[in-house]
Amino acid sequence: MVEKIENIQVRNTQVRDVPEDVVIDVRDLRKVYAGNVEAVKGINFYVREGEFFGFLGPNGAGKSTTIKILITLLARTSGVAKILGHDVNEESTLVRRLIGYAAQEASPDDDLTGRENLNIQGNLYHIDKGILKGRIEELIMLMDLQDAADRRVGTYSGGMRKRLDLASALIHRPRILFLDEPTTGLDPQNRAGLWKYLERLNKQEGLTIFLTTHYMEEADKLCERLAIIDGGQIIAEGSPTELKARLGGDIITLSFKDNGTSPEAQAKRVQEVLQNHAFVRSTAVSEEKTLTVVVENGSEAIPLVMRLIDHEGLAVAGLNLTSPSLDDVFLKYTGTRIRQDDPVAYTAGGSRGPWARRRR
Amino acid sequence: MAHVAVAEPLAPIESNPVVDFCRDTATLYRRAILKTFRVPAQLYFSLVQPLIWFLLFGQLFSRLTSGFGAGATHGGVNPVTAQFGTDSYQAFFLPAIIIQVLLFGAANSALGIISDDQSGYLNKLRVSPINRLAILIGNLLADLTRMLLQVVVLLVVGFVFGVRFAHLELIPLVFVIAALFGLTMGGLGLFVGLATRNTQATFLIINFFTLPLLFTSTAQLPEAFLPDWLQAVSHYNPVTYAINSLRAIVTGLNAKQISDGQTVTSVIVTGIVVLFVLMVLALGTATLRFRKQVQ
Repeated sequence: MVEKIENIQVRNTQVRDVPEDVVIDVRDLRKVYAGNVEAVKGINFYVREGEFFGFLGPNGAGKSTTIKILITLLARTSGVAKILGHDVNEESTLVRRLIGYAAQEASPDDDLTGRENLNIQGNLYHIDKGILKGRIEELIMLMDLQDAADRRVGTYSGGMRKRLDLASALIHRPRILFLDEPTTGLDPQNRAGLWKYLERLNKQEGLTIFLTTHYMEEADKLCERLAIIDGGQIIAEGSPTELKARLGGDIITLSFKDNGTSPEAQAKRVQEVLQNHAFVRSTAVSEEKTLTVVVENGSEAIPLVMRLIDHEGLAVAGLNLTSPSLDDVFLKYTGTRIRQDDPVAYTAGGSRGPWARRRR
Repeated sequence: MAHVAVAEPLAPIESNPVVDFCRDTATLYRRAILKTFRVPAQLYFSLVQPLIWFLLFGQLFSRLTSGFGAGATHGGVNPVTAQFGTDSYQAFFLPAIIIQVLLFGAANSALGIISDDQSGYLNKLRVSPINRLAILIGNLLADLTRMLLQVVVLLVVGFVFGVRFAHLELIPLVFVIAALFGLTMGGLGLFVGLATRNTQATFLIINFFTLPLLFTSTAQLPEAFLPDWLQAVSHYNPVTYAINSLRAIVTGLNAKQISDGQTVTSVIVTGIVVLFVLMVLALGTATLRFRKQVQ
């Protein structure tokens, strides 16, 4: 039997009981921009105290819009958005005292020193002078900026600027830290370094972190729980392990050569052949015209698969066996993959993938 | 998962809006001042060109104001000199240079905010609990400080190059007039900057208006020497009022003003009132635009 995906509409309008230690509470959030552009189409999720929570999705999915609403930079159209019990639009000043934000591009003042930047930032939050002094030192040590603290920020490296920006976001010891695509544009070394700091902040300081990203590796590594968002809707939600487990097993990927029949036609043929067998949990034809087959045990399934398609006259170009990744989760629910650095490959509107067609 | 004890946030929850506003303005003022003086080159270079003009024009037209050395006629004063109100073009021109520096300073206010907008710093400010208006006022006050410092330099240079002030006791009013004019132009510059959000567009627009503003005023020549239509236009030009007020202090009145029945007091008061009204309008417009964008 082919596994049915739960109806996306139903999932998004569920009313759920919200645990007591919820710090971010979002229900049926909608944002419509001028010109009737609906960027966020009614999303629901919550984040608990101390969690490391992520929003994973391609560009244009609605991640930036959602985070901007939560950090009080954008007014929502409708729905509930509460931070620590306070409405983000009605009680925005109060919310601002409790949250920290680091944007994708770090924006410290290049003409000032690191310390001066932190000092000004602390004054924006009305922190008492005596306390501020100590807090600045604390953060400089935490972010390993001791040597550079009195140098002009213009002389800092990219990674140092990011760390200073992070320190700025934390100057007032917020309850929640919001990060918008924190490692986009960083080289792998700086990315790994930043992950280390974020994990430290979350585990040692108990800081609740909400981040948006289109890097599934980042979501997988850092996030305790995440919501996959596409086309303004939350497609799936859970811990990385849970999400991957929902895929139901290992993934066999078959690719085909054109032998008179197109690879896509061949893929579809194999899909037909396999889908009614018990050991096959689900199948999907991807954009690259490969066939993805989810089975419980990959190594046992391969010989079965090959035997079943043997006499179909197909030209199998390759076969790949993997354990599920978040990219596969994304593929399952939206019919496309999250392309890390290729914005052209992103599609908006998750329900137009091949899964949706099959469901109907 | 293990629950780590979370420390309390440091930003105080209770607050007094007035105290907060002053404090926020002070913070952003301090930031703007620090940035201005960290890059002193900009400060110096913004003065160099006006100073060169001051010296060159002063020399170029020096014979003009002395009436070409022609003898005195009725009243004991050469008529040309009488219309200038002084026999030194340098003294006549000093107020114009001051105004010119202030006019160009208007672009600077705009640039500051555009730069913050583009870098993302403005968003950082908006996410913090500060009073939004403090962003505007803090920056404006810093610009004003810079402008007044430039006026001091110009006055000193003027004095060094032989300008003798007709009404030395009214020098403090020079700063009042400069401040009103500077804030008016700063407000307009800010509005342009906020509306275009683009450095080049802002520069183009401001420069487009600056030269005509100077030439349709009494900056270069006394009113009597302007063709009738330009005289009429100059009455609607804020630059005229600013310059005439400054000149009343630096050189005293000219023949036309005297024959029109004006006094030093009336010229200065008119100038201050006109500039004050314009300043309120300019700042109001900029504030409304700012609120729309930043709220």
